Amino acid sequence: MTSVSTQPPRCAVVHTPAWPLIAAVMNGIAGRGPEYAPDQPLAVMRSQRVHCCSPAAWRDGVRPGMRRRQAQGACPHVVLVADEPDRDARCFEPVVRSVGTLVPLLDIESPGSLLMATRGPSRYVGGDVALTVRLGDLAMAGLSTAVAARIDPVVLLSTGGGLGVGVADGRLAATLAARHAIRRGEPVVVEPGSAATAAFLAPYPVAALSAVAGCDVGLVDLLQRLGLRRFGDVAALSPHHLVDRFGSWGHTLHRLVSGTDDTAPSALPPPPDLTISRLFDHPVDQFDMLVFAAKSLVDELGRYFTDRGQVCTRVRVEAETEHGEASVRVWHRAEGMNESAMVDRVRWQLDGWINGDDRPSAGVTKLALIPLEIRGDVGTQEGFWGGRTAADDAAARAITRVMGLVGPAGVTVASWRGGRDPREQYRMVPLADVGADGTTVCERPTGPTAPAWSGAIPTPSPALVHHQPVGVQVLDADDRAVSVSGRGFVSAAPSVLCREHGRVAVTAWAGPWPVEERWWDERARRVARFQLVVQASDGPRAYLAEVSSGQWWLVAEYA
Amino acid sequence: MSVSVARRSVDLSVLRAGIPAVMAHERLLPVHPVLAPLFGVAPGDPGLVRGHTVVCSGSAAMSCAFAVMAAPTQVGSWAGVVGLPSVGVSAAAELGVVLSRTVFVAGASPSSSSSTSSSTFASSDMAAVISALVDGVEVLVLSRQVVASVSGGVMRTLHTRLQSRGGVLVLVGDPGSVSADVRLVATTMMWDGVGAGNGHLQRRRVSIELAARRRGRPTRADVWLPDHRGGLSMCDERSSGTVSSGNVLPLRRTG
Repeated sequence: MTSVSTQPPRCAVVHTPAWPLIAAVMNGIAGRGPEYAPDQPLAVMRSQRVHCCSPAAWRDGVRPGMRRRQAQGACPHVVLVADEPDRDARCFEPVVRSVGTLVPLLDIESPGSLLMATRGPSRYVGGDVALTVRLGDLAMAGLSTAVAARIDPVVLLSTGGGLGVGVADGRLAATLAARHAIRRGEPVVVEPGSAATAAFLAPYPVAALSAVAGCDVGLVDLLQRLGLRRFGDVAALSPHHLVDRFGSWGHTLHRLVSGTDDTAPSALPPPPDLTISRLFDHPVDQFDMLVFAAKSLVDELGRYFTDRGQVCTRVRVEAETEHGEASVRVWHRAEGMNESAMVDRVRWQLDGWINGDDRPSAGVTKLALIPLEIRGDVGTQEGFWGGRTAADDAAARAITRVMGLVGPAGVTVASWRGGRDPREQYRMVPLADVGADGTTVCERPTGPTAPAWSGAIPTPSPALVHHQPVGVQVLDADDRAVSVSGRGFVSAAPSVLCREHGRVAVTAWAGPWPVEERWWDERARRVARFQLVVQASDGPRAYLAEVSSGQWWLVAEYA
Repeated sequence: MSVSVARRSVDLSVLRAGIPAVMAHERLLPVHPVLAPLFGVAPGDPGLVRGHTVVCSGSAAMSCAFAVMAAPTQVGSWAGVVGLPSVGVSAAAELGVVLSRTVFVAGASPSSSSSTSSSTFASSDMAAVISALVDGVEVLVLSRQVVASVSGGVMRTLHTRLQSRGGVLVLVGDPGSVSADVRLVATTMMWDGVGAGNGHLQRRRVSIELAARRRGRPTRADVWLPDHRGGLSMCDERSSGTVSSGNVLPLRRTG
């Protein structure tokens, strides 16, 4: 197993130990606004435990791994921030972009940690030391553009425990060097060569293997119990013995601790920026000219996709006028958009905007197309048994046209959500989000095994559901308002329903069916529901009524 | 002169030969089997003529419109519902409307004029929306308010377009001014299942009267709309009595 290992690649690492904290502060801690006091103790929770905490919280005794209660016990005024990996990644993006101006091939190990090969960049800037300085400056520059002078980036960084840059042979050594750099307050450059790397790694405790290299905690624990407390202890063993004891893991382990791990940074080139835009020197207020300009943009984009055998399925179209009015809309077509389909969509959007009622007050100065979703053009497989009919295609075209007129939110389909209230059983989702193929809409589960909502009104369902309930009065035979007690008793049988245009007699009624929902948050609702049949002038009419705090509402009509 | 007339007649005959023959059943959309006798066809046969305007009115107009929509959507037609913000989607699904082929377009409803959401728009847009939908969906359901908001001339243009596209227009509530091909008046006779504080609404007996243009006397049928499963079923004499709810004893408060 003593394969001849190649020289590990020389790597640079830019590392921030508690990036989630920085991201949380950049985003504005929930409920606290953008103002941020640097001495405010902060901690990020992950899986019910403290994931990382700010220096202020550390001083008060909060430690990673604590439970919520323990952390609050140690530091009562600590602000606990929920863990949001998406937010962390989003906030890290400006830093990545800034560093990317020097080193285009970056390996983002996690938000807050960047790994790159130094071979090219180091030669470009004139040595590893100069590279570390440039990387530190670029990361700071990226951070300060992201916070846009709201917060001092240095103060912000100190919240996350600072920023370290390290250069060494191999991933593990470089990462440890960056961590060491944070403690030392200046970049750390480990001399090249296996001897220097091994000497740098030797004093590190094996616990760093699980924290940095992602080794199993159990394995690290076993090493410690075997008396192998430092990297040097493990590296001193023969790789044969490690393989005998730990199998293939032993081999990896030895390479890690002796600094001969030659895994190259998995650097991927950044995705090309496909945004294509045109600025007009003279504002354009003629619709035809705009469509013509859009056509040339689309042609350019279409050529790019055709050359690469790709097709765009989701595109954002943005237009902006001289006065800053903008029309931004995302268009989606599951089968992919060719040039004419894309031009159609731009035309529909601009038509609805420029010739609509809410027309812009000035000429258009900017038109941009931003492809959001691209996939390989593998063609579209038609359903074998005529899955997609001419009616579907015609409908999809017409509906897209209507979306251009009323906006994507105005055209909806119903998607089953469930619930005991007829108003919330179906959710109206914009068709632009699901696509007009009818397959992504949730259907109501049917059949004998379909789960039933407890407390839902039994079938049949009302044919008219008022999303703004109608306030009414319900009186008993003595013209007193009918009420429902806290225990669900009706004060008297309803006999008259008073609406704004007259009184009608209640001929039959059922209920009350009390509903007490969500008492744990602000959407709490405590109502009693009734079905009322009244004798209207044109025959009986049935309503679903709700009474809450003494007020009656008609929420639905069985029309 | 006579030569050109002769040539034109030849041209016309050539053109006519080029028009594909349309079979009678291709000009029809299916109707719910329970409604088929009203339309004068056997259950299972299509009976809704493309290009027609169907007006549903009466106290059960909304359910009646759902019943008309259900059968076409089940065989692959798309339906568009415009200007009915308070439509009961659950009831539509129970009556058999295929929701994945039904799109809802919000309309400028006079009742919700206070809301400034982007889904309300002016009536000039409404005409454009309807005419765009006519091109694609085969069943177009409009509320009375929508019809009232567009002018009569626009409505006539739409009707012409509808006939050329082969769709069916369903109006909920009687707008009065529109010339309807089929008028369905659904009148609630009685509600079943609910007593004085007991039971729950189970089914409704509705009398549907269909009056069609160029047809003799109106046809009439009594149906359960909805029946106890929310669907539409024929009201036969055996089950016409009230649902037996047993001997109901009123609840008595103790303690």
